[in-house]
Amino acid sequence: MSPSSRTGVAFTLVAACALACAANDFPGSTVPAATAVSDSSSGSWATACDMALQQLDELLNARDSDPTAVFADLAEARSLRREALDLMAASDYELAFDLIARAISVLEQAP
Amino acid sequence: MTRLTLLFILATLAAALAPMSAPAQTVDAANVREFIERNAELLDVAATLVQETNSTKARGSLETARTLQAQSVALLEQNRPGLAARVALRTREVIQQTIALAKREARLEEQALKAIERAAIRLEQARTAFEDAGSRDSSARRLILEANDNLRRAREQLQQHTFEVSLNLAESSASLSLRALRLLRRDLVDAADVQDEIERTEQVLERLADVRPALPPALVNLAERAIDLQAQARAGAAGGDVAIARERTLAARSLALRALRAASGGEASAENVERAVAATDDILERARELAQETGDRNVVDRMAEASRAQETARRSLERSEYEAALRQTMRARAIVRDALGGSGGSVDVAAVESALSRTDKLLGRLQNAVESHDDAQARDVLRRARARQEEARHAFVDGDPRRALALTKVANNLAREGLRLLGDVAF
Repeated sequence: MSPSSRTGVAFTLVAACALACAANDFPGSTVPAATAVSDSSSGSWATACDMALQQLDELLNARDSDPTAVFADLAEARSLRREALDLMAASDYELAFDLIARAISVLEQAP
Repeated sequence: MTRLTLLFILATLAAALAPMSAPAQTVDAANVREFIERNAELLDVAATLVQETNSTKARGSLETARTLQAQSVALLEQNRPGLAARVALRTREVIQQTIALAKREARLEEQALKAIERAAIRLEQARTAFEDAGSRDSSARRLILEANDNLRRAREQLQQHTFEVSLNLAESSASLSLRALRLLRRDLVDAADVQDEIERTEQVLERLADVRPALPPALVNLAERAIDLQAQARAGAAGGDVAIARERTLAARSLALRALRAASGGEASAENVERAVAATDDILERARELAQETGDRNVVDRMAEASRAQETARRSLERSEYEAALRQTMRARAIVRDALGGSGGSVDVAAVESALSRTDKLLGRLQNAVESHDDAQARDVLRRARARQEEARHAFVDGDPRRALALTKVANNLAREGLRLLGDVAF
């Protein structure tokens, strides 16, 4: 398995985790929506963010030492990461996760 | 990965993360009575444990459990078994929390007592070294004074039954004294250092002893090897063989930690907490920048408070107290969130419009710069910044100002990056 596909699988797992956590908010869930949103869901999103952030940092480190890396890819990923950290500082983990996911996607799609 | 595999992962994770069980729909009064009676027995167990620790936190939790228990009994007597069952379930949770808390507090009390004892010895050594050297070293003097102050506060906190704070203060005192010793008497440092290592291992072994009855045989063997190595370390230290003592106590700690991690559900929990602490480091670093930008003294002070919570988390992590570490690192994030104005509230739409407009201006400036420089990298950056800004505008029109703000800030950051690339001195 190539490094790229490994990170792809790992990211799918992170996304799956976040999706499963968010599933508690769906109609028919056994947990009342308000409870899920206030506690367990935000906690799960925080965990998903931590995992995704670690994965993003690993990718950024790898690309940093890659002479063929595209400047704009790194700039865009860093810009998304920076904003994601601002959102995490404000405990807006769901949107932060979205931005980290985009950053990972930018780096994974890079040549 | 096939679609089927992905669905399987999703289903597994969803099942794992789903709530434990739904409460029963029909309630039998006899069952509820039995449940409440069992709660009464458990309350006695909790009360005995709490009495042993005298912890403020545990006492508070016990009182809550007693109040809930009385409510559930009263509701059952009023022939309201459904409501009584719900309160009894909550009571059981609080009793279990109280028992766990009392055990943890008892351990902390003991650790705090030992840490205070160690800190007092270390402080005495530092004072003696200071006097013997006839030292005028102002740094050493300041460290000793601070160590003395922390030790005094550690004792006060112990008397007030706030054991965790007491332990942290005592450890901080010992560490300050050791720093003073390093400045004054290097020859005393090695022995003091190794004694600290031995004590740290001892704390891990104590926690291991708590879970030992539940350990499988393989982990019991691991625990016994750790205890044996620690005994060798103590013998080495007593005989003045610092190198052997250090080597044996570190090996003992490593084995004990492995056993503890395995007992608490494997490496995953440790890994998760380490990751959370690392992410909080990044959040704090960024938050400090934001705090400096606000120029608000109160916000800067709150950042210091968040940093202290994060340091406590790190110390808990070092002691393999994962739950405490996670609690503290998330507390650090909560402090940051509150200090910076938090989230969850509504976003000021006018502020988002203003941010969008600022980014537009910056993009115009980058456009002009790119045209005059004809730089491929900068052109690529401009294209991406425009795409994010476009997304931000769509999000704004779709009634999602929070997303719009985040995306326009990304576009803004990118535009600045492009201008820097072209040597625009303003960036």
